[in-house]
Amino acid sequence: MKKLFKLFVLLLGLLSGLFAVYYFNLDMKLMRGLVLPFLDKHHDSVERQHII
Amino acid sequence: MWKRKVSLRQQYGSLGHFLRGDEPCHYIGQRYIEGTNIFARREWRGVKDTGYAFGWWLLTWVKMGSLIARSPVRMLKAFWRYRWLSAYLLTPAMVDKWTEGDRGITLKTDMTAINCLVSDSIDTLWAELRADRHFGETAWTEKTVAFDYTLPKHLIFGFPGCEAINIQQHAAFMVPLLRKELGCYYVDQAVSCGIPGDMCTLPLVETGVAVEGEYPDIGNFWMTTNNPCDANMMDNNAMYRMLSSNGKKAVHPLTSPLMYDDPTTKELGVHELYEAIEFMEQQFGRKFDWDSFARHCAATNKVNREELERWDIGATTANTPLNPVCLAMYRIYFYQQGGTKHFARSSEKILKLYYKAVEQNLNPFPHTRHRALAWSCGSTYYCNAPLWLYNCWGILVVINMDSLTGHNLIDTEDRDAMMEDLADWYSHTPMRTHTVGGNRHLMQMWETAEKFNCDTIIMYDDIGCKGMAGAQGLLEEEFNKHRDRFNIIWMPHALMDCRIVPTNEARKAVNQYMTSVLHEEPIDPSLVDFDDTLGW
Repeated sequence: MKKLFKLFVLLLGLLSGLFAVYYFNLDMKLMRGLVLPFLDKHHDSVERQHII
Repeated sequence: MWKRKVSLRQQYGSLGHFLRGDEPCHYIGQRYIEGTNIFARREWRGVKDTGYAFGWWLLTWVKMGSLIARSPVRMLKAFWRYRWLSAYLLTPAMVDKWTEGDRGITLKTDMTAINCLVSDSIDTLWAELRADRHFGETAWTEKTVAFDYTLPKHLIFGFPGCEAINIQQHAAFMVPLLRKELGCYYVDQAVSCGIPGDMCTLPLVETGVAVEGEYPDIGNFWMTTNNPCDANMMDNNAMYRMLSSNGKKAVHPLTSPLMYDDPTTKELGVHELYEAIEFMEQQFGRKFDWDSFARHCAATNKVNREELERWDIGATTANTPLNPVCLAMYRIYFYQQGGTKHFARSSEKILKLYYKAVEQNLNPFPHTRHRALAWSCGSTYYCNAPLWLYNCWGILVVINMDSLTGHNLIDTEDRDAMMEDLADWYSHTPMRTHTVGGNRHLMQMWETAEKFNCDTIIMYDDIGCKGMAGAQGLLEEEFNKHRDRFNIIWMPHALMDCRIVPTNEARKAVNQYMTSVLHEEPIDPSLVDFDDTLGW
């Protein structure tokens, strides 16, 4: 019973955390602040040979 | 730090409205981060609907994670090589944009449609990346071939076990839908090679992706077509060089006619199809499986029959639960993909929700003041403009031009009739039917607007489209004849390049008409004038 309760609390905590990420749009803020600038910086550094 | 411009008390009035999410005005504009269309907070839709949207958000991330998990190393290499792929990391933001203001049955229906598009996109991206020679040959490399993106890939279903990818669809066309600045980036790459910058921006983006070397290298042949838009001719060299791997791969053009109602069109179209099948048989070294192909046509017919039922409901009632953005995107995407398992499943569910709305006489869009037809091609970087039209001014787009293609049913009993019907499908390719296929087709807007009981026509003005520019004088003449029956509003855009016509410029044109001609007050004042230049 105690284990079940712990599991329930753990799941509730996880869900609450995920909901906070969802509601405050933290996933997209992470993309905007970190992931996309990192990928863009890499792509900008690659030399491309433009041939038509 | 983001701050509410309208207090909770002012917005909701009572706890009941807050819990149900049925406040009189959503004040959507106040949730954007200043200068962008990125939300500082996601939408509070009431307890039930927020929980529902949260569930779909979780599922979207699980699906995106599952794509990475299929082959983490290959996928990371793909993100490292292809700039355009980063746009797909913003899928949850796209879902938010496409469901702004949705509640109840509308949210359910829209999420069902979007889920289909996400699932199908994940399958398609995986199918092209697992076969991509850039990351090493696999068993799929030779079985997965490139089709031009305006060429629906039905014929591949006659070769079970093989895959066709509409090669520009995910790498070019859909990119500004998710991340608008990438459209500008690829336009610049094409222009830097000497392609004129004043043509349609769609082929410019396609060319940009080509000169950057960012199309997946799949299969041993490329099924191309004479694109319906004449500007596309400008990109032929770059596309040929890239997609044929400098002439190493076989290329076959499956040509679409300029005028779909010319008396010779059908016969020549059937001839084109048989030639394409023969070419594919030679390339794959196996015979075309007519039974498998007929089964696919039947599956496509089923979705189309259901779509026609939905159009009937949309034309004659106010019970349509699919919002105008999802309605258009679901339909356009289906045109390319045909009756895949995702469409078969979702279409049935969506139709059930339509009938539920009819039986219970629900009005999913209660703020509707005008029923509108959206004509000509819409913008990609502002694909959610129809939702802004509704949320800001109560203009509900009930049907749009691009949706009205590929709905003819294919005879699956008789082979000759089947090929004729399919030729008819190909000849009605987007743009060819309504913009650059002759002025008569363009003028179908009046009868379509009547059929769907519209009082307003939103006339998209893609300023780079030479076909539409050529017809502008004719259109204005026609507009003058119909102004007593319809409100006709030009809404400018530049298809793929948000710098030429920024989204707030597009909105200004509508705002001006609504205030100075119709003297109406906005439904959501926070959406009238806001700056979203830096968003996605």
